[in-house]
Amino acid sequence: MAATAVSCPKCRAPLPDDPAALAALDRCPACGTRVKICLFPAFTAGPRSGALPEAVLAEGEAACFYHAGNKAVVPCDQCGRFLCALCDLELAGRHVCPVCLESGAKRGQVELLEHSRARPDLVVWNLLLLPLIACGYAFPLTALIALIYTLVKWNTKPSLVDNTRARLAWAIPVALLELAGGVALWLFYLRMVR
Amino acid sequence: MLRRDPNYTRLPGGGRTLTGNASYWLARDHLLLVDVQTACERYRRFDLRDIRCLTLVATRLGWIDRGILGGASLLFLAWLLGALTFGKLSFPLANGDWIGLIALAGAALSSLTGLLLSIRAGRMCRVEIQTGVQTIPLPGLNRWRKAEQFLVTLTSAVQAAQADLRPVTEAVATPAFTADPEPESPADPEPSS
Ligand SMILES: [Zn+2]
Ligand SMILES: [Zn+2]
Ligand SMILES: [Zn+2]
Repeated sequence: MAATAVSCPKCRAPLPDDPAALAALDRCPACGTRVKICLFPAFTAGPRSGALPEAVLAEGEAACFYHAGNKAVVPCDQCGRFLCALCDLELAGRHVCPVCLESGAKRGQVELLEHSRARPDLVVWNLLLLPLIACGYAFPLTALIALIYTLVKWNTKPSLVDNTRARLAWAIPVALLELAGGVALWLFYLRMVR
Repeated sequence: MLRRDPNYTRLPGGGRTLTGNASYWLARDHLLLVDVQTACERYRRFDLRDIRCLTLVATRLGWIDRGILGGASLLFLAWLLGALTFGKLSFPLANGDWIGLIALAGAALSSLTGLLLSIRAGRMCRVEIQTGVQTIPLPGLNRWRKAEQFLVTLTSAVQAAQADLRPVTEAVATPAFTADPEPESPADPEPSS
């Protein structure tokens, strides 16, 4: 049976426990709102359990680098150390040890562990568009920063999934235009003051 | 030129959220939610083997924007009609103020277009995902029709990933998710929307 009950997302009333009744439901019995529920085999399968390590029994059997008493099952794909079932971490088809995983995550090398990323293309466009609202006199400075930032970040992958450089490429002519316009504005302003 | 990451396929659905923009991507073994806010994107991953249940619920929110857009359309249209018929009486437009008249027509047209687009996008909804450890709402899946397309694609991927597990009940044998016809027919009395 399900370990976690399903409740109506609208009124939070608990929905039937029986998977068959739940899957057939098209309205919440409490508030009458139309609902659609799809259940998957994991719903009734219960929580997933990890593999348990086996003890080293025979003499000469390879042992885990981190646990001398546990039988090694796989080497770490990064550092080659032997790992027991407890230390073996599977990540996108690779087997790594906890130490390599942690150091990789710290250096931002493991994309699967990344939870946020600054988008250089959006930073550049914010730099180009924000002075439009605030003050045109900031143009030469912000456009120059945007231009330099575009060139610096040209080779970095802008997003985890959407890797188009189109936004960065379009920023270049706009930045040049803003730079020229901003300089002209300043020259005009200085002439007026004099 | 860089290309889209071949490891991810974009799922239908996703769109504007309160604070940014959300999109959904399917990888070999997980679902990735990308939430873009200002100039930063945040990721949330759901292992396909951990997904237990997806819930779609209709909401009334659609009527709020339809009400606002409908009211605005009526107001602008009435004003425009008044200005065209009575000329001088059409305060605050002066007689023969063509720029004001064009602006008014533009406002009426854009609110009417917004109303039609909102009606065309269909009723609104909310989607929740339940895994072994949490139940959370999925942002950006606000339209029933789009959310159903999202669920159809995701369901087949999750079923494939959990193929070795026993079906939910032998009796209902993993009810495959299929999209209904649009549930906004007048013959269907809606207590909720
Ligand atoms: Zn309810
Ligand atoms: Zn290692
Ligand atoms: Zn170990």
